[in-house]
Amino acid sequence: MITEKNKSTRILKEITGYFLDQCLMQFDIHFNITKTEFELIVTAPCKEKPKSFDRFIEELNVPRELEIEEYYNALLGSHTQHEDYSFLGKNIDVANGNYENNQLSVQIIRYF
Amino acid sequence: MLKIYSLRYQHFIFLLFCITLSFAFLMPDRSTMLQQYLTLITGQTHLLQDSFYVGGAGAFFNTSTLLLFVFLLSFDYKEQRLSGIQLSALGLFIGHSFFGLNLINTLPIILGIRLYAAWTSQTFKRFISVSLFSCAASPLISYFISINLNNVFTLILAILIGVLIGFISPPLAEHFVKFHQGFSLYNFGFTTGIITMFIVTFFQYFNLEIESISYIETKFHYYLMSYYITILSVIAFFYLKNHKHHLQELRKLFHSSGRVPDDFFSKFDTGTVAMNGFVTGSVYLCLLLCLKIEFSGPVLGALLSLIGFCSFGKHLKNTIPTSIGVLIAALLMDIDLNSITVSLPLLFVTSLSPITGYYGIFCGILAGFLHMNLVSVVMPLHQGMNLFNNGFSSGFIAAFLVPIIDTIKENKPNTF
Repeated sequence: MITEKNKSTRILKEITGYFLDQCLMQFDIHFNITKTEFELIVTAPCKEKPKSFDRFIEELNVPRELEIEEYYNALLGSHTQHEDYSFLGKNIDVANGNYENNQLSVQIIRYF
Repeated sequence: MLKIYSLRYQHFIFLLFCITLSFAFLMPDRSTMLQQYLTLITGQTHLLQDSFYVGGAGAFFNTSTLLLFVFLLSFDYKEQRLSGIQLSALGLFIGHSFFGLNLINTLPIILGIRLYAAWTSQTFKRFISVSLFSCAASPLISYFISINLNNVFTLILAILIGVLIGFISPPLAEHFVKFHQGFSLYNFGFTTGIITMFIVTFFQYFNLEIESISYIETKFHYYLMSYYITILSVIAFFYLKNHKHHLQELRKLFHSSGRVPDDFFSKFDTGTVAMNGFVTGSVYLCLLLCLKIEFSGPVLGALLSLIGFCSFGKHLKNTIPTSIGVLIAALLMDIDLNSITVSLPLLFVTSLSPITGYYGIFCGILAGFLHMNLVSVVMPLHQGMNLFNNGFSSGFIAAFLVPIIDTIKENKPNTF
């Protein structure tokens, strides 16, 4: 059974995993869980926008699928390189990505 | 020409229901259809018990009742298009209706899942596909029903066991997927294998024994093959309007590893996914014909499961190597390639297709080879009470092989 705290930590692991894969070793995290939603914002200084960033955001914006997130919950957070992020996308409602002034940021929202 | 390009999930199931029911009435033994059906639903079912052994019309009628049931179960589904997990669950469920599943032995399990959903305050819509997957343990319910049909106690016991299995299946399946890390597509095969293994260990306390059964019927070979070709034709007719575009997209789809959850509908259009099912299903049909494997209930069921999973992980590039591994093992074991002991692993080994997709052809062949060796070893653990025996085996194969390959790759990245 999904618990939202458990899910939130798994999502955090996936997003920070992406940043580490892009060799962004310093980043700031805003993590907020309320009664109705979970919001995560990760920001990192970045000299050049990663080539995979647009595709990453696109994959995060696939529609949410309730059946998938329940059944495969245990796999979230076990991301490896060369795999797409559409599974993570199916667990969240909103995903925004931005690269401005050498700052890379990703905002995630999951509604309960 | 009918211009329906994308059938809704419910419409697709209803169409399959109509086709299956039509085949029931076309069978030569249709005059005893209801009698055959009653025998099916009240008798013992087992992993290698072909529904067509009881009768052709009854077997198709049984499948059509299950299709109608799935149609009603998903009636409130608000999805506008098919999704991979829905289709894969449908393929597996309907496929196994030809050897083991019926309405009586599936309802208690689905009731158990419904109770689990209510107890955890979740909507049952999350569990519709899971409900279909979890019916792999149906032979256990049939076992108790068939002990004594007139005994209310055994009937209640059968229902309670089914409800228990359904209730514990979702949390176990959720955790067990980590055991093989998503490299086995038939996660519920592994989950149900573990559940039934534990349940049958208690039989000794009550002097209960499970008779080992193997009833395979091939006399309806041409009818079953016609049915399968009809399903492929439906896919082609309704979904392959722009086949040149779909073939181009199919080349991109072949790059998908298939590791769960790899829903092809989220990355490709319906026609491309349908093309994948059509092409893979057709190639495997040709493979069976080349090996002179005759159609029986289990073989037909395995093919339908294969097509279902062509929307959720499987494609030609990652399935063929695993099947080659099975054939190599069978040749070395000196087993007839057209026997049921080869044909079922040949088709169901495709559960390990993510290993090919992720690690390469050689690893896929190795996985298939190991699977052929292990699949008969694990069956005594549940004594045929788990219909997804190949899924049970593939869970072990994936859990065993993946860490070893990962470790070797870390030290020698160019080896595979």
